[in-house]
Amino acid sequence: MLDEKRLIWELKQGSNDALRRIYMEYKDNLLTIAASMLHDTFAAEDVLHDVFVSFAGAIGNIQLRGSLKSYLTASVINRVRDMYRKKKHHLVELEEAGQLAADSDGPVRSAEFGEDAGRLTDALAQLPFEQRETIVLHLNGGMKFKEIAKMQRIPLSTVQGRYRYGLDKMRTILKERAKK
Amino acid sequence: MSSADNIERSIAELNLTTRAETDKRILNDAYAALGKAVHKQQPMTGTGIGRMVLRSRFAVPAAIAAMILLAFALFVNNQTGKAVNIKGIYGALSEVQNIHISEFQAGRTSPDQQIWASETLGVKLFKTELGNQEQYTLWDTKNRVKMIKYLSSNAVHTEPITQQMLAEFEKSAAGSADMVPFSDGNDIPSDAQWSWIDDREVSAAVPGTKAYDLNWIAKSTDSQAVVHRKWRVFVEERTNLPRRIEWYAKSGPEDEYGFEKSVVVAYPSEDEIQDIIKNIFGPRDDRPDDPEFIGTPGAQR
Repeated sequence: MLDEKRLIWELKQGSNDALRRIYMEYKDNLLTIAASMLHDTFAAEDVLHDVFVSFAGAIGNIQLRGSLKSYLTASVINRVRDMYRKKKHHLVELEEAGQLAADSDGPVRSAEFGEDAGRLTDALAQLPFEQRETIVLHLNGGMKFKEIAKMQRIPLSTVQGRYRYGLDKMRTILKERAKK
Repeated sequence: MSSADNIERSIAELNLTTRAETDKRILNDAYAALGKAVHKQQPMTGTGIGRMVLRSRFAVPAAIAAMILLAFALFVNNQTGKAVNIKGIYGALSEVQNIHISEFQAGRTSPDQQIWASETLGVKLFKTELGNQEQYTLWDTKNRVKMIKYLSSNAVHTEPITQQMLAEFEKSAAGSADMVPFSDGNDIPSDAQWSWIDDREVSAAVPGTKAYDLNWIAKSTDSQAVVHRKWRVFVEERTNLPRRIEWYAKSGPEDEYGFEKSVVVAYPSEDEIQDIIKNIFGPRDDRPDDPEFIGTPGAQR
């Protein structure tokens, strides 16, 4: 486990090694979160790039109030939201995603996720953004519902509802696909 | 695998790995950004201690003008005695020669980090916890030597301080003490509220001080989310020096502030700091001067 306070301190000294250690510790998890949200591995890599470059560039102003992982996860989610809003990438809404997932393997590099996992991410892509975000933050980001509620500034019950409805919908999607 | 049956576990097990070329691209760009960020940090003025606790730019004329205006805006006319304003606190801290800072995270009764610093002695001593291991790190800039003592083994590691190490240390030490809410006093939002806490019970927490709150709304650089922050400082009226600082935050205006951490500040004499260093590392004459020496202070070599 990283000693985050120490690493941030070293980072503020300009330590590339501290930056590399932080990157190596969290990169895969953050990439997975971004790719699960965006259904686009290349866009997810862009998010990862922006998050770390921005993090390094703003190191002088960063004062962590929580864990470094939470900070970086929140940064990823915020950039994903920006991408979603701007629709600059191949992010698609519920209906479009359904069509896309049905018609193709999707822009996620399925070879990297694996076949079964590819089906999962296809199903995830068909969920409303808020449900997808809740599921990904909880299951991939390891965040508690309470933390998600705080981050999204919504009631805990709303988070739990989004999670439950999202999973139910995914089950339905996967079952229907298995019948085909 | 039946995705529908074990859906939660399956999602949790999703895992992508970055490609080597992606790592290289991101790290190279991040290194460059880090280099610029560290390089961009403005040169500080005032004493070394002042730089450490303030990171302000009082010597820059424009900054002075801005600070005076800001301090005027934030000034509270305390009817019961001499009022303390932000400018007074920043100014007093910039003149400090010797200081001892103890940081306590919420729920902790022992400090997470302690710093002793003396401008006149040219030393900064850190007591930190690395994992389960506590250690003292002494930067003796006058004698150009850095010493680390690991409490678990009592071993001491000594190395010479190079010019580059010293430059990097000076930069990093500027932000090592989480005492003031803004690294640059000019960054205090114009709508921040500075107020004296008219409550004897609060001030009584640190005898001989008056308590003030700085309230402001902080916006995350990455999102539209805002955090309501409160910086409470217990100030000695006579000297304008903080004796205790508390950090609070809340999500919404209707929420209650949550306590995050506190910082206890003392202003020891040079002799007191010298005694502390001597007790940890041994008398100056007994200290190892050889680089990379690892051993026990006072042991036969």
